Amino acid sequence: MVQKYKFLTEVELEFMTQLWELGQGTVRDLLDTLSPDRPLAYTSGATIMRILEQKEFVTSTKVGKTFIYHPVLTKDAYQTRSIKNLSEKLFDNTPASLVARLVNDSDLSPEALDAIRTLIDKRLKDDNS
Amino acid sequence: MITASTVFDAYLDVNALLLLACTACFATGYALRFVGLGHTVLAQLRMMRATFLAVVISPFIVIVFMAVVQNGYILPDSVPNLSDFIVAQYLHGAFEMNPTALENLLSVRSQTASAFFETHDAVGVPVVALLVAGIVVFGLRLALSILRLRRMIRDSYAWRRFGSLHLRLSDEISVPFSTRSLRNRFVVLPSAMITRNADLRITLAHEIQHLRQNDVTWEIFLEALRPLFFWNPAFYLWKRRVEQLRELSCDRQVMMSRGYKVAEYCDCLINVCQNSLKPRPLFAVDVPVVALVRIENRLFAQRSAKLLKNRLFSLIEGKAERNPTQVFLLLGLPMLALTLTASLAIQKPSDWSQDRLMLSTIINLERIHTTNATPTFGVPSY
Repeated sequence: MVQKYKFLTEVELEFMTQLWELGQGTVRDLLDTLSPDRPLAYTSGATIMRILEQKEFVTSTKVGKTFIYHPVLTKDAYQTRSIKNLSEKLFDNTPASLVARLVNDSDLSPEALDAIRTLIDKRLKDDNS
Repeated sequence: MITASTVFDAYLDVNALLLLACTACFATGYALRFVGLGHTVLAQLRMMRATFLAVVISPFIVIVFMAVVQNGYILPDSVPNLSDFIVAQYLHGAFEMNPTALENLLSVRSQTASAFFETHDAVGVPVVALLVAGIVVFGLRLALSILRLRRMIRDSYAWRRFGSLHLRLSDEISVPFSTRSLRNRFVVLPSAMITRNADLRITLAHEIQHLRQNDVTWEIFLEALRPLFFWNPAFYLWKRRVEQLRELSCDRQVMMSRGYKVAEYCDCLINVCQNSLKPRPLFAVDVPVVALVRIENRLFAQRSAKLLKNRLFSLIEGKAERNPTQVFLLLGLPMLALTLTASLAIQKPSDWSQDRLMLSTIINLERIHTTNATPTFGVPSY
């Protein structure tokens, strides 16, 4: 059976981004790092973290009355998962089309294109060796 | 012994009765609006539900009533019968019609049942086959919708639990809804709503009110009966009207008990609609749930928009419904009496009444007259 991966909603991604940066943290820690123009109740933050735990993105340990959350999935792993999903859904499962779209983007600077070329060359060299 | 013909007869009776009850309830609704009592939504909702229940159980009530008549507790002559009434009116000259045509009209139901189950005629068999196929298809749709609902609930995330009430959050939905199983009740909210505190509070209050009013149980009951009434337009009209009344009544109850601001409540309804504006497949299978707002595909989008407009107007108008129980009794009791009397009146007459004998005699005399008037009959060929 094909495993169905879970993805993050917008607000969950905000929380995960903060948690990836902090390494671990409580709901209060995460709320403090959010933008001040985004007031969020403590209970809402706690609910979001509980959902992330059910989605198996984080685990928690109880210290006294507080839960400390740790990311289970790394940011890189989630990026890979998201790109794969994007490639499957929007680019007919052909990663070349995805890269072509990215490279053809006129906003991409020559430096960024060079970096992409270096990455591809490195990957090809690694595969050959 | 209960034969297929008897069951089919009862099935036709229930459908005919639903059509009659639907007409009567809609007429009552129009009359109430005409006299300025259109805001009595809870009383009307209860009336429609009680009448629907009476229609569905009417075959059993008829069986019990007939048993009572057969045991001599009630005189057979005192049982109203529609066809006997029509024949009596005909004989008294209330209307003019060819007697044979009248006889054919009165026996159309028994002839239909006979055509379907006894004579197996060329029209009857395909019609029964279509009916059975429709019931099977709609039954399968119902099973599919239950499976889809189970999957939606399984894939959602537990938020809170109060006894048998489960509050869950889902990434897949954009419109909050409530539903239930035999033991548990569920309120499922879009997970994105968690950051909108005002909407969250109003939505929760609204969905819990639906569960309190047994709206969810009624929705499941109506959806379970849809395969049996799939061809009957009265069923769809009925369901649509019940949905309207249910939402109007729920909005009012929540506003009265929680004291939310009208603008805040209207904002919440519009926000949910706005977040749900994405194309739906034309033949999407509806799941048996009670949603905060109804979102339909392009074909029926106008209906959803009209319902939302009515809800917003009703909230802004803010007319309080006084004594809903008394109004319900005032409306519901005559409606129930009418439904149950009609269910008895549309039964086949148990015996040949004097009027029926008279009609039969008239038909026979007409036949003899026609035969005698035929010039070739009785004339020797030599």
